[in-house]
Amino acid sequence: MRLLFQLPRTNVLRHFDSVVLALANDGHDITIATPGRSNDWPLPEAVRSHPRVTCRTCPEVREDEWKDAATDFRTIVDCGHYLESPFFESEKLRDRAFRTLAQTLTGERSRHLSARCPSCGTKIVDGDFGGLRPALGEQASSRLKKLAALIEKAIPSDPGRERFLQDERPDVVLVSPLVRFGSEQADWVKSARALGIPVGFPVFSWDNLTTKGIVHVDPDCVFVWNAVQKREATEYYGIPAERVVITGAPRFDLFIALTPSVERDEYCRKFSFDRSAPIVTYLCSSEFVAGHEVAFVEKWIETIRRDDRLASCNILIRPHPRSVRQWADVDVARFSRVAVAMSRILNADQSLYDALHHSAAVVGLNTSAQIEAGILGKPVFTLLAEGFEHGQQGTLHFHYLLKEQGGFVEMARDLDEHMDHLAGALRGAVDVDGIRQAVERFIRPHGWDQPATPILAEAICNLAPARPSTVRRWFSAR
Amino acid sequence: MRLLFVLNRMAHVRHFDRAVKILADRGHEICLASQDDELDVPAVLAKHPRITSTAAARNRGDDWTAAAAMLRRTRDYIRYLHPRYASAGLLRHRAFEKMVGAVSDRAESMGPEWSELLLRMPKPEQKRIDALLAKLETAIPCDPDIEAFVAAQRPDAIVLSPMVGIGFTQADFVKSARALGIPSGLLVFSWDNLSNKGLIHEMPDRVFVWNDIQAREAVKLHKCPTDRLVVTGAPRFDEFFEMKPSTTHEDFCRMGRLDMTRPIITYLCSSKFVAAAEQTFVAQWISELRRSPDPMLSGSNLIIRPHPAGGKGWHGPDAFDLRWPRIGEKATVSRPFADERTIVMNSPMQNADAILFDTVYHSAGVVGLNTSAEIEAAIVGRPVFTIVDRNARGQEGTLHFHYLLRSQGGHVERAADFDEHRAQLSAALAGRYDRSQITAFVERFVRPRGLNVAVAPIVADAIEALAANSRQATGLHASPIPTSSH
Repeated sequence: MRLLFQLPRTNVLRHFDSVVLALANDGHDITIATPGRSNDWPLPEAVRSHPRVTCRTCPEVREDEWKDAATDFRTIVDCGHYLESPFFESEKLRDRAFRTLAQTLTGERSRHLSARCPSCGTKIVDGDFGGLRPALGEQASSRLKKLAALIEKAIPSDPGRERFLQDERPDVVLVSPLVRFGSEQADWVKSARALGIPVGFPVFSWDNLTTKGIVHVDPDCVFVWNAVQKREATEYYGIPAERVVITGAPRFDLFIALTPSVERDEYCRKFSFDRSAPIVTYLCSSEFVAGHEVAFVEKWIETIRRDDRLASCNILIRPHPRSVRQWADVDVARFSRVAVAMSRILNADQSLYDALHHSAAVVGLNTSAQIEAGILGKPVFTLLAEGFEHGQQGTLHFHYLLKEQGGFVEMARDLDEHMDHLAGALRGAVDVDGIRQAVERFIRPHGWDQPATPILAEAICNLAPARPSTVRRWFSAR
Repeated sequence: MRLLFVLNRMAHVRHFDRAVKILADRGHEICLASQDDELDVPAVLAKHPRITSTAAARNRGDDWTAAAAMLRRTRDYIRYLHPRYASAGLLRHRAFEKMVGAVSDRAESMGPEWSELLLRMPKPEQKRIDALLAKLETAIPCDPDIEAFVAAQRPDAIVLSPMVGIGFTQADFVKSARALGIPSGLLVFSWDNLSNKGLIHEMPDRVFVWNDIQAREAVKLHKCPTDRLVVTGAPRFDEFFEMKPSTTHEDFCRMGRLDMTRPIITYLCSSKFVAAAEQTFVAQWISELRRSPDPMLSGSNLIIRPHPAGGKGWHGPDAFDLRWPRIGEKATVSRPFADERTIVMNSPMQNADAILFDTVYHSAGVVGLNTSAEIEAAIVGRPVFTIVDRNARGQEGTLHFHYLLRSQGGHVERAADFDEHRAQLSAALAGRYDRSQITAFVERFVRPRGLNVAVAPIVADAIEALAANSRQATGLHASPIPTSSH
């Protein structure tokens, strides 16, 4: 079978490289099609050197007169998404959507949409425009949705993409992450469907269906991690349930297979930790979620040091892989037994594995690495922190990991409660089975011993039609 | 040939009824398709054997009905964010209200001030949004019902008017005509139509405009390709040009109970949209004129002519009706302003109003805020004046107001205050005004092909050419055409 992965950048493949290799090893021919940006990451050696994997540069933008209009239109629709329930409280997400719109409409000349309230003169910026929505009422919402659906349906398939697909002759097209604001990948879905080629959309990450743009053109199949994402796909995007397949999250298969690379004593020595004291690891969040997190983390350390139950513990700070710069000049030497461990690796990171493995407890505001901590059965904690509300409670995915929502992350309402949680964990009061079960539901819903990679690979193969696609038939007939 | 006229209201035919009649007289089958369910053809056309009427759909009948309205009204609103409309708050608000009304059932919950929200949006972004909306317009398919209607009529050409009202759906007829290979043309209804209504959402194959100003508007404001423009002049005034007074000055004064030894100044009221509280302004205007040191002006007869669409509420309890000599039309007269030499006089006529003709003809000067009758006054050769009324938001806040101003090549003398206005009127009463400027304006604005060249035949020729070109080009509609069922 010929399978085509269309990705906006090569780094997206990191969440599916195991799937690509599994499919290639099974004898399928894989094309990784990206627009070929000069600053793209190189693909992993195993993928790049596989004889059945080919990389091709594909069109990035439409070649017809819909080039700007389709993007502008979809970006506007994406903004509208954040004016709807359940996103009323998601100010940060709404702001980002409107900021993206400003950048799109101005060709990056402006980063914000702004105006003055004609009534009171208050400045209205980005997501504030959402405040107008209630004035329009419910009827407006449904009318606009209907309008958007009609227009999207009327946007034609891009001839450039069609030519590329006709040339490639894939049996199945896979697109991810698809839900970027103003997604140009919607045009890949459209063109593939126009040619009768089945399209699958493997969801990139746990937050993707609640923090980005919408699915503008329905693929034939959406491959989701778990039941939560299935509900998101059906409820928020209106994808028919029968088109959603739960596969689990293949991105963690490699991580789960890792083993510690270093013994605890050596690990402690490396960071000048007290090997007799437990390690508490703080996982920083992305800049979008937490902005500048350093001051908060320093305050958190000071609070721990003032608490007799926790004062002696070792503390490891793991900056977010994409936000290491804010930690570059931070000196934690004034705190004893505190270290910063930087890593830019985004997937299956051995240093993260080691850090979590040797930790007695893990803390984070709202970050994917909390899932990795859960995989290792570690107690994971979060606390509602002032100034970070919009990146925490203001997102939907934050709630999915919480214990009270069936997850494994224990949430504290303030620092005092959080210290109690940590103290309990260091005493050994940890429900490892409970954590595992919650993680299993989230990333391996078919069973802990069922890696997601082969499940997704099989689901992709199942998407191929019994008969060859129109394109294949056409080529065969030549 | 068979020609289909699609009119938002049957009454709209009044601005080109002569052209329609000429076409019918030349042997063409004319069908007047009205979107207001009015099937009674106006009297001047009613008896013609080759003119029929039918009802055209008010709106689309498919899934796109609401969607098309939302897109088009949004685009109509966006046009008023352009800096050229910076002071056109009234137009912007009207467009905003219609847009919100299309999107929501709560139009009334958003105050007029909200129409100013996006006013400072930079031009490049406005342009981009307009380009987006224009592109989305191309995504709107033909409406099957409208297409079936147009196909059933089997016209050689379709002519539309006014097309540009915000919320009008005639763009869908153009779309369908184009899909069927039938040429289409827009007859611009009036002098303000291209600058203070909505956009031409689907550009017809021809746009018949009055003059070079409208030609420029069509290109600049509506992105009409220049090769689709035909400058014809304004057919609606042909009859007015031919008019002669039905009354002598003495008869006229006697009928209006005016002092025939004193000059007459006529005040032409504007539409409610232009001047919402004009009665208050008129009362002030009367008293300001009475304070003039010029006895000729302070003692002049004043006639107030309410706007044809808003005559009610002007007359006092002493109102009486007159039958106008020779034409037999009714006029109503009263003296509601407690001023013995001021009367209110109006007639129900909307076009080629002989009573308006006589009123202007017997006047030494004419005043108005912003109204079409100022053009008729110029045709009669009378000096026309305007004075800025800050409460009339449809005056300086519209583009078309400026087209008539003398400073812009027009014929209307603008005054910033009553002192200036009184001085201008005194000069006019003394016969000091530029007659050649008035004539030049009329020629340029109303009859650009020559002051003595009637426009209706030019319009008829242009419509014939539109239809004939299509026949030659496509060979369509050459089969025998059934007679109208209406």
